[in-house]
Amino acid sequence: MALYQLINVAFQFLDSFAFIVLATIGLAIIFGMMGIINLAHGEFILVGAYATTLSFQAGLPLPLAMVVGVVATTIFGIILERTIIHRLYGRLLDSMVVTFGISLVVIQLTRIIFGTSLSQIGTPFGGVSYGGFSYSAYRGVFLPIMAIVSLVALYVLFTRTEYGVRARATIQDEETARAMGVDTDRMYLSTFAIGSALAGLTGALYAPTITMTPELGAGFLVEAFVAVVVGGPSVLLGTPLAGGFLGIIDAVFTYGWGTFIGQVALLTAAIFAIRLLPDGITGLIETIQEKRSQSQ
Amino acid sequence: MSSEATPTLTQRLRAPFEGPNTIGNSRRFWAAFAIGAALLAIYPILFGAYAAGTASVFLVYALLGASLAFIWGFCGILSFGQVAFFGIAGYTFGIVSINLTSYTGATLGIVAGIGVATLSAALLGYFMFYGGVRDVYVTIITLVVALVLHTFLGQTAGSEWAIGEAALGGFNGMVGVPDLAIGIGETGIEFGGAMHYYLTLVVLILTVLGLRALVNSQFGYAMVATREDEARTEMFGYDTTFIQFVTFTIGGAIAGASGVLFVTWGNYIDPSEFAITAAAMPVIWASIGGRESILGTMAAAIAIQWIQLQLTGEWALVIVGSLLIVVILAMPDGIAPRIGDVPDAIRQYRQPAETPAAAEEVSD
Amino acid sequence: MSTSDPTVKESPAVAETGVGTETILQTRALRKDFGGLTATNDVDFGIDEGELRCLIGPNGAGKSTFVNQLIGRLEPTDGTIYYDGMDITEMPSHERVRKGISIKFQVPSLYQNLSVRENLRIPLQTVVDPSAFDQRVDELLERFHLEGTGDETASSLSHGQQQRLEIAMAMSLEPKLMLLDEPVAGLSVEETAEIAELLRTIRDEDDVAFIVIEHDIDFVESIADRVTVLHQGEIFTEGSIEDVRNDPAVKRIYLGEEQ
Repeated sequence: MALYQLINVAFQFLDSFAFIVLATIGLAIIFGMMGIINLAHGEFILVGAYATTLSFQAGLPLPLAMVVGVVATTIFGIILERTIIHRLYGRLLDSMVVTFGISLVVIQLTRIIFGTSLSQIGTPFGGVSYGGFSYSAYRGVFLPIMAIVSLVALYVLFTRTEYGVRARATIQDEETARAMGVDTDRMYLSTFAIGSALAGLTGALYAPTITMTPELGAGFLVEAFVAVVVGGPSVLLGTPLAGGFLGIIDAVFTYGWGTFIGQVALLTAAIFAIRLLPDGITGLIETIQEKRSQSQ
Repeated sequence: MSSEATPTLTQRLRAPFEGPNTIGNSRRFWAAFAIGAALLAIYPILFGAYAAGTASVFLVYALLGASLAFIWGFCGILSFGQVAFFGIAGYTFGIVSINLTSYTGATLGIVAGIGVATLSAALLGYFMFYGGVRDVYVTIITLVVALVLHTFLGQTAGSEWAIGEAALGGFNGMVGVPDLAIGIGETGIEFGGAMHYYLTLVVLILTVLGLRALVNSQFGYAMVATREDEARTEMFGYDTTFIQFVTFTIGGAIAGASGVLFVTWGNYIDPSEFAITAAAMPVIWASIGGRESILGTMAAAIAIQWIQLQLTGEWALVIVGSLLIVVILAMPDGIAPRIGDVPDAIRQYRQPAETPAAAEEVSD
Repeated sequence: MSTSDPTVKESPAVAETGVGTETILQTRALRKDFGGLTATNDVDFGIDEGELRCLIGPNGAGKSTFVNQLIGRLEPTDGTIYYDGMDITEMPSHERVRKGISIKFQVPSLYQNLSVRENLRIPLQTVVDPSAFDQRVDELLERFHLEGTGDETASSLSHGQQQRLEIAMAMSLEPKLMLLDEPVAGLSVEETAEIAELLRTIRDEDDVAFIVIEHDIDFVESIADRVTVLHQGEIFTEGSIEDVRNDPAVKRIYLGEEQ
């Protein structure tokens, strides 16, 4: 019996890990690059989820519908960046307030146009059975794989492409990057587009498993914010490690005591993390790397 | 605040409530303030006790808004968690007053409600500020706290979630909360209907005056200095961590007071008061009204909540959201700081003999 | 601990008291590591009451790092700091300031959006009664040649005025030890001379000890009682400005030839 409980917790961990990573990457990229907390992050996820669901209902096969979801969210993000967001760089608190305004507008417009809910796409892939129990293959296997694939893709993007090199330079030191010819405006636009795309991906991937209501974005916020705080500004280092760490906490506490206790545990973890690691896990890793290079 | 010969009585009375830290330090301002207060006072007479009882909630929101304007505008603490203390106080009052009926119950409920809210703010403030949490992370943590409370209270639907006679009620909320009352046993005063309105108005005016005095005092300067440059202020001998902690706790107390007034207005409270939209409303009021102006924020709270009520239907929030975006982009400090410009703008308009450049002199 | 060296030009304050003055600050084996870099290496530094000490050294010598540890902005990795007879190594910054240490940072740190008067009020209200504010502010404005600027916004002042305002703010706390990190950076020759005179006057009239970080050698010469040369986190040498200026070893470290 204990083995099966262990497998169950393992699946819960993978489920939580995937959820936290996917909920966070879009937010973390924008935060890491521009220092902006996008309070409309949940609504970017909403756009991705709704676009996916609507395309699917219009007849597209699911993978294609998901692509539509990502593309729609990216376009949405680019439009917002060009019209509103780019005026707020350097105005951190103002950006939070304005993005909250955007969030309100998007949720309400969604409700006005599409009503209180859409019918959900069914969850594909069925279940994984183990000794009389079963866990959703989609959430326990597929999504964790997608989370890892996303992280790897981001790694490649940041380390092997020209964009990535320029992005890292800008994050390190904007003044110098600009002096070296990096078009920081373009950089912010591309980054915001990528962040939007990732949020859209999250919406697309989770569309088959959550209820399609205009408020669905709110369900991702606690995890995303806590992960950003714990992980620190680096998407490559901080987010996956935060995902792993918080995923364990979430799995264990939610499994044992329910959603509320799980969230309390996450909140507590966040407070402890900030206390001990002011720059999140990112800062911790950097300190370790420094210590290691110095002892050589 | 230059004093000529000897200050007159009114000048001396006004002195503690004026200073460079508050917007509005002229006779014009106090005249407008007095007129505003008077208008609010005769509202029940003009529109009847029932209308006043219904309108009381707007004053309650104004008080909640004031709690945020105080900590954000003057100390730079952007908290999405004021609603948490608001709700905690409301639920606490409900629990105490439902279980201990009679005037004693209600009175204890007030004390307990505000007390628990203040304690919660102190606890959260302690963990955050003494833990080195600052700026955007404070905002995130306070938001997460409100959301977590929302989740918690949302799942209290079962009958096991009752404290004594008071059922928490899950998403349906806590019902049957008695009216506000002060007294012991069977003797006391009840504050329902128009009485609730007047009580809230009095609390509101006292809070405005109290906060203005505080903000213009030495502590107020310490708050402002901490907001402007915490590191530097520390180097002038200020315990900035303590300053933020105290400010945040006071903000929690005021939010708690508004929570008690809220739950006794509708005799009801539910977890939606902790949801993200509710959590953000004080931020919206302060952003639009002007976070450095307590009165501006209060006015914005009343106006925006009233607008939302009028525009029943989905477009209300669309308009509020759009208004928020436009105001922040065009007037990052909110509307209140600009009000002083209006008479000047009118004067400019009336004297087109000025050069076009001077006529366009609206401050940025 | 510094001794009375008859070849060192003594400040009038010392001369008046006759007997050797008290040490106001002393560090013992102070050390600060940043990962692999040792910015402060086993420093024993002492300064007497009323002494004006200049801290010089090539870039990267660790001067600002040292001073930041004195005020408590940085935590030392090891060692002790004694001030006025107390061990202040663990004391939080704001308490040190209350005990009489004051600092003016290298980077401009005025309250840009507040008026000059309000800027001064903030440090002042920790030491004087509200009833005395206006008078003290006016005194400070006069002393630091900022008359008439009281109601102007700090950000609208000239660079020289801002430097003087910052020094005024630090001085308003009536400290016993003032830490100045590059007080004349970016100032003209006249403004530099003005500040030099201000510092000498304060030292003479108020018996304030100073630790001044500066690169301008002429400025240093015009104010210093003694000079400490820092190099690679260690005290390279100490002495009068003449001794230090003529020391070939000091010249070499500035030229980078010495390790």
